[in-house]
Amino acid sequence: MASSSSSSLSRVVVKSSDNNLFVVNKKVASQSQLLKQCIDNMEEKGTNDVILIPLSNVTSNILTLVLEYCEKHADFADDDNNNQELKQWDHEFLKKFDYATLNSLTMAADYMVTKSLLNLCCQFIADSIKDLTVQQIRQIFDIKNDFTPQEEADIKNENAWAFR
Amino acid sequence: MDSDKRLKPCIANNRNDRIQDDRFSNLPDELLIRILSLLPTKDAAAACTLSNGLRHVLPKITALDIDTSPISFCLKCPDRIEQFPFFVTFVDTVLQAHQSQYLTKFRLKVGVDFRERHYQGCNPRRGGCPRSCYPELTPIQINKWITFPLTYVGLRELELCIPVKEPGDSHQLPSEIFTCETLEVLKLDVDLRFDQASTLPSLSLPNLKVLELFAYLNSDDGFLWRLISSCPILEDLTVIAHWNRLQYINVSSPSLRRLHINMCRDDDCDDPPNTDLVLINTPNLEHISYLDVLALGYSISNMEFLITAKIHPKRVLKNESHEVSRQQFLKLIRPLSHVQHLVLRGSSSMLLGFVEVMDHLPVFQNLKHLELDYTLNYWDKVLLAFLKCSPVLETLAFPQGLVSFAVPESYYCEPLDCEISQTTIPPCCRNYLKRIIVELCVGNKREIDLVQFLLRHALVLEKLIMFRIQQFAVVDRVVLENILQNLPRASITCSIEVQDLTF
Repeated sequence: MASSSSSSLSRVVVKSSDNNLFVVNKKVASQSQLLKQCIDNMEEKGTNDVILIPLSNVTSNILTLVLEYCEKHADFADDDNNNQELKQWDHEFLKKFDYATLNSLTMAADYMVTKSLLNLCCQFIADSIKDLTVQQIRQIFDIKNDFTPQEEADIKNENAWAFR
Repeated sequence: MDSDKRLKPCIANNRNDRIQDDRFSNLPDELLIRILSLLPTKDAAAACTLSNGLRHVLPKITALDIDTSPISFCLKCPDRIEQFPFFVTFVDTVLQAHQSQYLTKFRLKVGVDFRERHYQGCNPRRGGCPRSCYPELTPIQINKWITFPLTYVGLRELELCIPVKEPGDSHQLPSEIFTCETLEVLKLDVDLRFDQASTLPSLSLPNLKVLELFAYLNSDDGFLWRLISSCPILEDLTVIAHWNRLQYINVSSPSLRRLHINMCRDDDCDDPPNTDLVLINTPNLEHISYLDVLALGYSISNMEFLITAKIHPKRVLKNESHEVSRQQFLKLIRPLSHVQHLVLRGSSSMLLGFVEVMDHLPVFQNLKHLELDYTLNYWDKVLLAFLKCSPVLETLAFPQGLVSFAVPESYYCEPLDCEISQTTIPPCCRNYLKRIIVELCVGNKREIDLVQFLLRHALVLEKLIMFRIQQFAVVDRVVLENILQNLPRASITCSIEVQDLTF
C-alpha cells in the first residue's frame, strides 16, 4: 500500500460528547462545514494520519442522526437540490422525532454547520407551530406560563390580532 | 399530510435526553429567531406570548410577514371589517417594537389581491363589491408602513398588497423602493400612484431578480420600462396592469428568463385605442406570456432559448385593415420560432386564417406541443399550415375545440375536402405526432373531416381523445365514437376515445 503520494484523507473519526467514536468517510463528513474545515486544515498540513475530531456538544444519539442525514445527502451530492426523492426522505426523517430530539438535532446542525439540515429543522418546527393555538403550542412544546396575570393581559392586548 | 407535519408531544419518559422544563424557549435565541422568522408574523407573535423567555425574541426576528386574512374587506361580511382596527394596532406594535438591525423580508397584505378585486366580483364596474369595501387607511399610515422596511439593512424581499379605498394624489408609492440595492424580490399589488417614483432621475435595483407588478398605471412616462432596464440581473417579470393610456411597451433585458404581460385598459368596455409599439428585446427569454390588444408595430428580438410561449391578442387592430393586423401579428410570432410549447389564443385563429398563411409562418424547429385555443373561426387552414411548419410536433391540442359550435357550418363557404386533397402530408405526421386532444368537440362534418385527415396521415399517432359537450354536440357519444373508430387510420395502435363533459 504505497499511497505516499496522496495527502488526502478518505476517512475521519468523530468523537461524541459521551466519548463514542464514529468512523466517517470524507464525502459524508463534508456535508458538515465544521468537519470539512477540520479535514481541509489537516490536508493542508499534509498529514496522512487518521484524524480525530471531538464534538463536545453532540451526544452519540444525536450524532448518529446527523450522520444518517449526511450520509443520505452525500449520496445525492451530485444531483440538483430539487430531488423529489430526497425531499420525501427529509420529511420522513424528521417526522419520526419528538420535539426534544428535534431541538437537539437543530442545535447540533447549527454547531456542526450543516446548513441544509439546520434549515430543514427550522422549517419543520415553524410548520408545526403554524396555525396552532397558544394552548396547543404550550402543551406540545411543554412550555410553562411564567407571566403574572397582569403581564398576560397586557401582552394579549397588544397582540389581540394574533389571537383572533 | 397535515397531521404528519405536527410534532409528537414531548413525553417526559425520554430518558436519554435531559428533561427540560421549557424546551422551546431553551433553544438559543439565534435559532429561535431563525425559526420564528419563517412563520407568518401573527403566528410568531402568538408563539412569543408563551413565556417571558420567548417574549423578547419577537422584536429580533428578521422577516415580517403580515396579512389581514381572514378579513376580506367585503360588505358581504361587515363584521370582519370591525376587526380591522385590531390589525392596525398589531402592525403598529410589531413595527414599533422591532429591534433587529436586519430585515430580510417584509410582506404586508391588506385586503384582497388585484385578481380578486378585478376579476371575481370586486370590480365596481361589474356590479360586484362597491369600492367602499376596501380598508380605511390614511396615506400617512400607509406611507409609514411601506417605508418601514426600507430603513433596515439587508432587505431582500418586499411584497406589498395594499388596495386603497379612494386613491388620490396623496397616495404615493415611496420612491425609495426603487433605489433599494439589496432587493432581490419585489412584488407590488397597489392602487398607489407612481408619480413620485417616476420623477427619480435614476433607478437602481442591482440585485433584483423577480419583479411582479399589479397596478393601475396612469401615465405614459415610461417609468416601468425604465425600471426594467435598470435591473441588470432581472430574471422574472410579471406586469398585470390597468392603464389609462398605454402607447408603447418596451421590455429590454438581456438577463430576463420569464416574461408575463397582461395589459388591461380602463376603457376596456369601450373599445380601447391601439397600442402604438411593442418592443421586446429579451434574447435569453425562456418563457413568454403576452396578453394585450394588438399593436400597430412590433419589434421583437429573436429568442433562441424559448421554451414556452402563450400569445393572446385580445382584439385585431382598430380602424385598420385586416391585412395590417395580420402583418403585425406575424411580426409578433415570427421571433418565437425556437419555442417548444406554443399556445395561441384570442384572435389568433382569425388573424392567421387566410389562404397563404403557410408562406408567412416561420418553421418552428423545436415545437413539440401546440395548443390552438379559443376559436371564433375554424382552425383548419391554420392547422394545416402549422403542421407543415412544425416538423417535430408531438402533441396537438384544441382546448376550445377544433371547430366553433357558435358559428353554423353553412357560414363557411370553402369546402374543406378540396383543400385537404391538394395538400401534401406534413412531415411531423410521419414520425412525431403522437397525441391529439380535442376538448369541446361538436361532431359535425367539418370536424370529422379534419380528424379523418389527421388519422389517415399520422403514422405514429398513439392517442386521439375528444371531449364532447352534450349541450352543443350534434351527434350522440356512442355514434360519434363509432364514426371515429371506423375511420381509416394510418396508425393501427392508436386509441380513440370520446368522453362526455357536462357543465
